[in-house]
Amino acid sequence: MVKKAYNNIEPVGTREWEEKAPRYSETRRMIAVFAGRPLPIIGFTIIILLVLMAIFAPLLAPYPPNQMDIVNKLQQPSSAHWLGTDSLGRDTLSRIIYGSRTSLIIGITVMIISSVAGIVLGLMAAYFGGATYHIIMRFMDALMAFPMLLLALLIASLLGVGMVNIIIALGIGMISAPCRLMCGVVLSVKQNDYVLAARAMGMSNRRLMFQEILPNAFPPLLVMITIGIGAVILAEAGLSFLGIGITPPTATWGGMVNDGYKFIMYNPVLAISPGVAIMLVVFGFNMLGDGLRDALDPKLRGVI
Amino acid sequence: MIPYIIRRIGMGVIIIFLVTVMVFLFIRLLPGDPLTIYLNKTDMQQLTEEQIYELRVKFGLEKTLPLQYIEWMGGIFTGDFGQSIFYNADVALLIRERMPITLYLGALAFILSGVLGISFGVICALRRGTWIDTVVTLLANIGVTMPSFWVGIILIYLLAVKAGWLPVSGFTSPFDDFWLSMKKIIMPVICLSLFSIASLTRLTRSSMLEVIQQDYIRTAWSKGLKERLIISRHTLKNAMIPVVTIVGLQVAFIFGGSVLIESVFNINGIGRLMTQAVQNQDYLIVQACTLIIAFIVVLSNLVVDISYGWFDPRIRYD
Repeated sequence: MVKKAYNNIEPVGTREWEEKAPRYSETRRMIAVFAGRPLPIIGFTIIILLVLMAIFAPLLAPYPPNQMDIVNKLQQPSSAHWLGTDSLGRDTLSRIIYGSRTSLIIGITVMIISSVAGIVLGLMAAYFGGATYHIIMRFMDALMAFPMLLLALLIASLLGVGMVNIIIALGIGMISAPCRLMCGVVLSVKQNDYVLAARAMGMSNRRLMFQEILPNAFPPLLVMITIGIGAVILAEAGLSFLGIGITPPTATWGGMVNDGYKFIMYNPVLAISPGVAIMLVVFGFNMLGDGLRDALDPKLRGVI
Repeated sequence: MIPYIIRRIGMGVIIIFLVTVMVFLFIRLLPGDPLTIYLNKTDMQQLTEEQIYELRVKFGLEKTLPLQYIEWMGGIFTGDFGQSIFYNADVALLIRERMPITLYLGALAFILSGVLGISFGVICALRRGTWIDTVVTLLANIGVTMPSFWVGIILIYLLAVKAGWLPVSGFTSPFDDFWLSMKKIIMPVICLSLFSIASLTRLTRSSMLEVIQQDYIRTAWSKGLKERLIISRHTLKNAMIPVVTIVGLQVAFIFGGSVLIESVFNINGIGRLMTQAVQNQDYLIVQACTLIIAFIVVLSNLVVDISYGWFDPRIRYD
C-alpha cells in the first residue's frame, strides 16, 4: 500500500468536476470518508466499547472473574448468570469482561514492540542499503517462513508459558510486516524529487527522515498496526486455547473456549460466547483498519 | 526466465540457511541451559557437577557455536534430529509417522482455499453491487475474524453432536476406509481453509476491481473483444499478481492452523505432536517440526515466486 507521492499532486483543471468540488480541509475529508460508510463506524464503536469494558471491568462484571461457586457449576443462562457458569461455578459473563483486558494488553504491547523493532530495522535496511539491507531483509524472509503459532510454540517450549513469554513470542513473529513496509516506503520515497530538493537545500538526514519520509510511511503503518492488533488477539486466543498461552486462572477468551469445549454437551454457551467476543473484537479492528486505509488514501483526495 | 529462476533458487537457499541459524540460535540465545533440551529438568537436579560436565561434552555443548552448528547441521542432513525425552524415541521416526496426515489435510485445505477463494473473489468483482457480492463480501469479512478452533467446536456441536451426520473427531487413512476417511476430514478441512478462503476472496475482489478500472481493459472492450476473453486474458492474469503472493502465504497459515485444528479434532498429526511436545518440554521435537515446516514454506514460496515471473514478466528483469 505504498502511495507514490505524485498521487498527492492534484492535476489542475484536467477534469471539470475537480474544479467545481468545494475545498475541504484534509482532516474534514478524512472524517467524511471514514464516517461515510457504516462498517468503519461499527468497527470504531466496537473498539471503544472494548476499551471501556477493559478499563471498567471491575464495575461492569457482576461477579469477580475467579470466584468459584461449586454448588452452582455448569448452570444454564439465567437472570443471576446471564451466560451461565463454567465447571468451577465461575460466571462466564464476568470472565468474558475480564478477558478483554488480557486480549487488549497482549494485542497492544505486542504491536508496540514489534512495530518499534520493525520500523527501526526497516529504516536501517533502507537507509544504509547494501549489505545491511540484504542481511536484514533476508532475516525477515526467514522469519516469514515460520508460521506465527509455530514460532510461538518453539519459544514457549524453551521459555515456558506465561504473559511475558507469549508477548516475546508473538512480538518476534510480528516484526517482519512493519519492517518490510517501512523499508519499502523509505526506498520509494527516497527517489522522489522533493526529497532530493530537501537534501539540496541542506536538510539534515534526521530532519529528512522525520519531516519528509516518516509522514509518508505513517498512514500504511497505522493501518497495519490496527489490523495487526486483531491478528495478535486471534493468535493469542489460539495459544491460550492450546493451554500454551496465559496461565490459568487468568481469564482469556481462548482458554475459556477450551474449558467450554469439554462441557459442550451440557452448555454450549460456555464455548460459544467467548468465541463471539473474539470475533467481534477482531472484526472491529479489521473494519477500523479498512476505514483508516480509505480515509488516509491520498488517491481519494478531492473526490469527496 | 532462466536467470530469474536461478536467482530465486539462490535466494531460497540463503533463506533456508538463515532459518536453520535462527532455530539453532533460539535455544542458545534465550535464557536457560541448553542441556535441558536433552534432559529432564528434574533429572538434572539429581546430577553432580561432574556428571553434568560429562553430559555437556557428550552432547558437544562445550564447543564453540559455529562448531556446534556444523555438527548439528550434519546430524540433520543425515536425518538425525536427536532423541525425544518424553517418547524416548527417535524424533525423525515420530515425524515420519505424523507428517503425512498433516500434509494430506493441509494440501486439501490449500487446494480448496485457492479454488474457492479466487472464484468467490472473481464472482464478487464481476457482479459488483449485486446481492451476491454483498453477501459473499460480508461472509468473507466475517470469515477472517473467526478463530478456526472455535468454528471447529461449533461444527462438531452442530453437525456431529446434534445432527449426527459426521463423526465427532479422529482421523482414518483414506486407504483403510475411504468413505469414513472422507466423512472425518470434512470438518477439519473446512476449518483449516476457512480463513484462507475468506482472505483470498477479499483480496481477489479488490484486485479485480482495481484492474477492471484500468485503461487497457476499456481498450479491450472498445476493440470489441468477447467478455470471456477480456476477463480471462486481460483482467484475471493481471489481477492474479498480488493474489499469487498471498496464496503462497496461505501455506504458512494452514500449517499454523493445523496445530489448533488437530487439537480440536484429535488428529495425530504434526500439529498435535508439537502441542504435546511443548507441554512435555520436549524441545527437540518442536525444533525439528518447526524446521521442516519452515523448509516446506520456503519451498512453496519459491514456487510462488517463480510463477510470479510468469504472471508479471516485468519482475524478471529486476
